[in-house]
Amino acid sequence: MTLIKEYFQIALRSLTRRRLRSWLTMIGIFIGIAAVVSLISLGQGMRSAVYDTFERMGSDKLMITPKTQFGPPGANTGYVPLVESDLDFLEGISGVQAVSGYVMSSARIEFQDSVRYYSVVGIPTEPERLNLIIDIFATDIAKGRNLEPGDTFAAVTGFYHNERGLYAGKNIQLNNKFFINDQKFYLAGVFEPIGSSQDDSMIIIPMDSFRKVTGIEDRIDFIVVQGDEETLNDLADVVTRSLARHQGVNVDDVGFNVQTPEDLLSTLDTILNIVQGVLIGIALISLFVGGIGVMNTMFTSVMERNKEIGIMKAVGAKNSDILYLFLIESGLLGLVGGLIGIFLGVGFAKLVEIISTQALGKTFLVAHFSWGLFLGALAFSFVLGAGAGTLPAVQAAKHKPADTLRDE
Amino acid sequence: MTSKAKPLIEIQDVWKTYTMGDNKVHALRGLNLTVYKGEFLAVMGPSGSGKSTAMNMIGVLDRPTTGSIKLDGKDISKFSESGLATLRGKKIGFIFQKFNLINTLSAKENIMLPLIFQGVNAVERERRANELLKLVELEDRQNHKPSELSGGQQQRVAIARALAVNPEVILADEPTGNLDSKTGGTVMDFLKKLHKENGTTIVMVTHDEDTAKVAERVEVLRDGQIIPKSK
Ligand SMILES: Nc1ncnc2c1ncn2[C@@H]1O[C@H](COP(=O)(O)OP(=O)(O)OP(=O)(O)O)[C@@H](O)[C@H]1O
Ligand SMILES: [Mg+2]
Repeated sequence: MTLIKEYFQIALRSLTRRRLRSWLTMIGIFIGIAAVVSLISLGQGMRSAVYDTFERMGSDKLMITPKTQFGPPGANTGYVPLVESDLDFLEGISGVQAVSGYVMSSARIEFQDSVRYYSVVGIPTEPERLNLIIDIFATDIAKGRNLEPGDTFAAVTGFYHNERGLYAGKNIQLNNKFFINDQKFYLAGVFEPIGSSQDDSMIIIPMDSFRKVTGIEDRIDFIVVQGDEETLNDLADVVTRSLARHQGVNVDDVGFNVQTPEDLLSTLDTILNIVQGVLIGIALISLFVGGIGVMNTMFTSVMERNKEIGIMKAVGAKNSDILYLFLIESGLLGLVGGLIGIFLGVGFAKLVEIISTQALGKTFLVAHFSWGLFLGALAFSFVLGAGAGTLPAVQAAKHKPADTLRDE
Repeated sequence: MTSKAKPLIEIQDVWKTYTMGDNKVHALRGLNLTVYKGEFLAVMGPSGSGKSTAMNMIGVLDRPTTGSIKLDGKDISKFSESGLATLRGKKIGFIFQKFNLINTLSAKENIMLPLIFQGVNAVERERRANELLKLVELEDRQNHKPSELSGGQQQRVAIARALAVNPEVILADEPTGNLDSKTGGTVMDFLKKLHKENGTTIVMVTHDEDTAKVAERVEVLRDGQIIPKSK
């Protein structure tokens, strides 16, 4: 193994001699590597987008949500439901700085004789509660204004209602009138794109008006409690126990979850990990198949080159020299495949980024690339190639030169 | 040969048996042959008599089934496979009937190949290859692939390759077998010159009486044995 550079040159020669076959063999590798690279970079991007959102919401807030089985908000779960008066109760707990919440339901939306059904969210309009819940939405107003104290039949919506022609091709413009369950509202403001069709087609109206048009009394679907960042975990305990007592149920049987931002983040992280893990698992299967392809090609190559191996041995190549030559050759197949895979993966991730930006109207998903990822992918593909070439290389190394040089 | 000449390769009672299914083929049946340093030996014999097998033994390309082979006084059965490869790379230069060049490498690279396996550095390889290209008069063909060379030119590249490591002995198995008599003649001239001017030991297998005349000594093989000379 004294002259590695020469070995690489010789290996490269035999690969370029069988150019077409080398390319075909590498397809398996580079598809797999492209998938892994794009999935990891997009996954990282998604993760940091989630973290950003949480950062904006702040790390000093607890989220209280009803425990639900699968079903629409307010479906009967047998638990004591959260109600609007709980907000007042929670405000009285020491350590709680502010409380807010919202209620949500599907409603009939009518605009210029076109009727659609969307989720409508009712939020409090008392100044402090209003501000807190706006914080939670963590999105800015693109046009017009946010809801303000004193609003009654004003609505703020996701940008779909304003740009996507949801109503027979027409958009609700600022100050246009439209109907929610036959009650006239006007569009006071439009949110910046958020990144999911559900959020971006949301309609937000004052709580009192919500109760009037939907007939839903008291129920609340989400409560946010602002406390002190340092003591948030303790506050979560206190809130759980107090609210349970207030509802008259045992702490273990409460119908709600109290989550800290940490809890939520780790939940989201777990979900992301699972999704990414499954996808990368699939990509790894394709890499495995790619490895089999390399092995197959190398076996063929060894068979075809019996004579060449014999010649090399006749001029002094040791078994180990032949072994290295073939290992380097298959490693190169992997490495070049990996290199192309990285380029393809970056291209694909960028494509997803661009398409998602255009679809959502906002840069939500930014692919994150790192040298670690690239180097890791390269090292992995070389090792994969060399690994797949091990058996063929061992076979090549064991050739008896006298047998292959015979029969001239 | 004078009795003062030192033996380079000593083959004693060597049998080589190939087993093909139930059949046993005895390619060599108790071969005794000594190659002396500096001699030019020709081996003749009918097809299938074991000439190539004997060459493989002399070149430690293969091991005998039984019997002993000594190279420079060292018993080759004591060597590991990689030990034999190193020995072969250092001391032996092969020339084959079908040239056996590597098609992906240029003439010059083919000549440098044995030096690579000996771990010779690039500068020295280059120098040695140029020297040999000049010797075989192929300087203007150094970057050609074997497929772009005539048979005679290919065989000259093969000779240069065999000489690259300055081997103790050149083993040529019917070196002119694939060449017309004229190109065969030039190849023989090279071997003759090598032997005369450099004192290289040469063992050559040939069918051709005239070719064999170039050698100082001729041995005849039949059925895996040297036919004793009637004196
Ligand atoms: N690897 C092998 N397996 C089986 N039989 C073999 C093998 N190598 C040689 N033989 C047999 O051994 C005998 C001698 O073969 P060898 O090649 O040495 O003959 P040769 O004298 O070189 O013949 P030619 O002049 O045709 O080249 C032949 O009968 C051949 O079939
Ligand atoms: Mg022969």
